[in-house]
Amino acid sequence: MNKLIIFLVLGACGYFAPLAAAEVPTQNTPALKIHQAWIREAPPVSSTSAGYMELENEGDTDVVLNGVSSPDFNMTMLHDVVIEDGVARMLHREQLVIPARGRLALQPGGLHIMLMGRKRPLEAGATVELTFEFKQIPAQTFSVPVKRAE
Amino acid sequence: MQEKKWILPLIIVLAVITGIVAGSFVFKPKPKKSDIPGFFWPQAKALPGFAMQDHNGAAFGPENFKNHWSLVFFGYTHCPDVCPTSMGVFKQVKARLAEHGEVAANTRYVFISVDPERDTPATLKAYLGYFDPEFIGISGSEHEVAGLTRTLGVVYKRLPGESKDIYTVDHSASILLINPQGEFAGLFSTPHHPAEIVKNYLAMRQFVKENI
Repeated sequence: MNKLIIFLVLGACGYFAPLAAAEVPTQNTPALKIHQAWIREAPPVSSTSAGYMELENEGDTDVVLNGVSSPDFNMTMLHDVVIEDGVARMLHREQLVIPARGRLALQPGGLHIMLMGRKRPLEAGATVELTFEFKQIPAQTFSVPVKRAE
Repeated sequence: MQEKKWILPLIIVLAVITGIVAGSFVFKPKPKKSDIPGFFWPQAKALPGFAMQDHNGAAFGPENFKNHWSLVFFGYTHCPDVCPTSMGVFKQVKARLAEHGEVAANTRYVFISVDPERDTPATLKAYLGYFDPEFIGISGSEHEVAGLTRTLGVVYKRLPGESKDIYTVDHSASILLINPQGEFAGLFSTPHHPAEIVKNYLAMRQFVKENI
């Protein structure tokens, strides 16, 4: 909870200080929703995993996702897998845009939240806190279940 | 008389040429061309020499590929997305092949690490055991991995990471097929759909059965 408050305060400072009028959220800007969120249960020897979900923006303006953090991992990054000439390349994405009245899918083999440096064992059934930081709206924290991939 | 001297040698030469040409058709039929996607027949490529280890720490070289068909994937255990997804594909392929007893019996699933620094035989054993204890893990020195991958056209590149232990590796995502002669015989390109891999693989096996 404390963390959430800190994020909200920092978030507020962040975007009210420079004040670009177009970026100030309106009172009606809704929070983002996430659907079918899950974190891949990693084999015990792997300290790396990935988070997948569908992000839904019910607002009338695009929302920019600046990053995701988790207390259970040393490092998190927005990643995309791009296959070029049969080679899987991991591309770091600085930001992701969730379009107004639209959805953005993060799924295996494509966009995902890369979670590196796992701090504790995370087996299927556990939950992981993910905090999403946005450009236009306050940060949001979700509890996401760890699941074994089918 | 002068003319007759030439006739006999000419007949002999023509007969020999005719014999060679006819013989090449009769005794060495041109191999049928396969139109199965990803199948290299008849241009399978020999593997180079290499000295690596399997997940139990036993020596593993090109001769260990012989007598089995092997589906081979190059990856690393700290890979967040592509490798676990591909091991899931291996599992599904294996499950689908189960009803094809003869083919299933001599098909192996092999994971070769492109992260020599972190992936030891013990790491691979624990990693692959999570998916299927029958999967085979191969690891070796940077030099050995580089030599094998170069010959197979597999590429990998370690990316600069946050720290010594936190980094990712870009790598080929195709599944390679090694035949029982220990030759690189086919390739399953991405995206990997288990049903399609099984269909093409069974077609390759059938082709070999009928033509070799």
